Amino acid sequence: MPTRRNLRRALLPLGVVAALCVGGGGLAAGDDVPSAPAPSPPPPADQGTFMLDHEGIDPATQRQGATSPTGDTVYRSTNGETTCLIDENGSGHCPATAGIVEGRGFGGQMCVADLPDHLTRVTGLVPTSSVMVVLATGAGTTYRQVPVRGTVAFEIPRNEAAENGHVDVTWTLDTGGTKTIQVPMPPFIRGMTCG
Amino acid sequence: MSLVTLGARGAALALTLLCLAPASPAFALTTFMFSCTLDPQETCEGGQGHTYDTQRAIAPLNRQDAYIASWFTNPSTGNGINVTYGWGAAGGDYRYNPDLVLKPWIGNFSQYYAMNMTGKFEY
Repeated sequence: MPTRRNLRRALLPLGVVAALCVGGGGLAAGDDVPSAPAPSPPPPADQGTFMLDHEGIDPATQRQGATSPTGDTVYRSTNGETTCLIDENGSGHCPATAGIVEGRGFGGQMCVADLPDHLTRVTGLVPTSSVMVVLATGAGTTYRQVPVRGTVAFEIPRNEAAENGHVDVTWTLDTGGTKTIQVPMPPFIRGMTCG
Repeated sequence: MSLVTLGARGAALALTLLCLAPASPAFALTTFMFSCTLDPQETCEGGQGHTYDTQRAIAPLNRQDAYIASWFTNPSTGNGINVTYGWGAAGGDYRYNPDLVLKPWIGNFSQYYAMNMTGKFEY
């Protein structure tokens, strides 16, 4: 029987193609950067909103953000003081809005049902005027993503993320400016057994 | 006595018994409150021994300058489930996972802190 998740996954490749067409890489000189994203579809009806409830954020403020490589979509919402990034199940993290420009918009997940055990999903809030985000691990690997409404959702091997105890994230603004921050990785990220 | 009368009396009896029966406990919601102070890697055994169904839990923290993680541990295996981390507050959706133990972690690049946790399980 087709489910909403299956439908989302079936449509994901189309979404990726569309995102690439719209984002276009975003860094080459002369590229047009879309200033007004398409209207945001509503979050899933069965999405948990406990994080938003905890922070006093109206779920109606949620806007669809990035979709991870395995198909997990994240949503951005705010009450001004606090901004939350939660996924379609309601899991996520909520930093102070003022901390996003300082690099405190990042967090992640592992040991979740829709992610292979050897991976961690690193999700982040960046300034909404960002056009590209690059994540570099201590193992020397890099991952690039065009942010959607100021959100990104990477998925990287846990052993890479654990190197040096942090990953480096650099975002590029539409003005051409860049900022690099360190995102700490919990010390258990390498050895924790899932399940 | 006709069959029609018997049927009517039977129906009336069934209706009476139905009205006298206590409300089904299957729909009762039990709230289990917990509050504990933890050092890193210690365990808050809020939901241990209970079936955890459709509710979720969060590691509450009103400090936006700290980096935290929260997860549940399956007590039968000791393994982590839905480990979520981030700045400010971080919480995972633990629906459909039975019999769990909430574990928090808090720290930043170089320091770790004890963590006060309060919350509730509803099942």
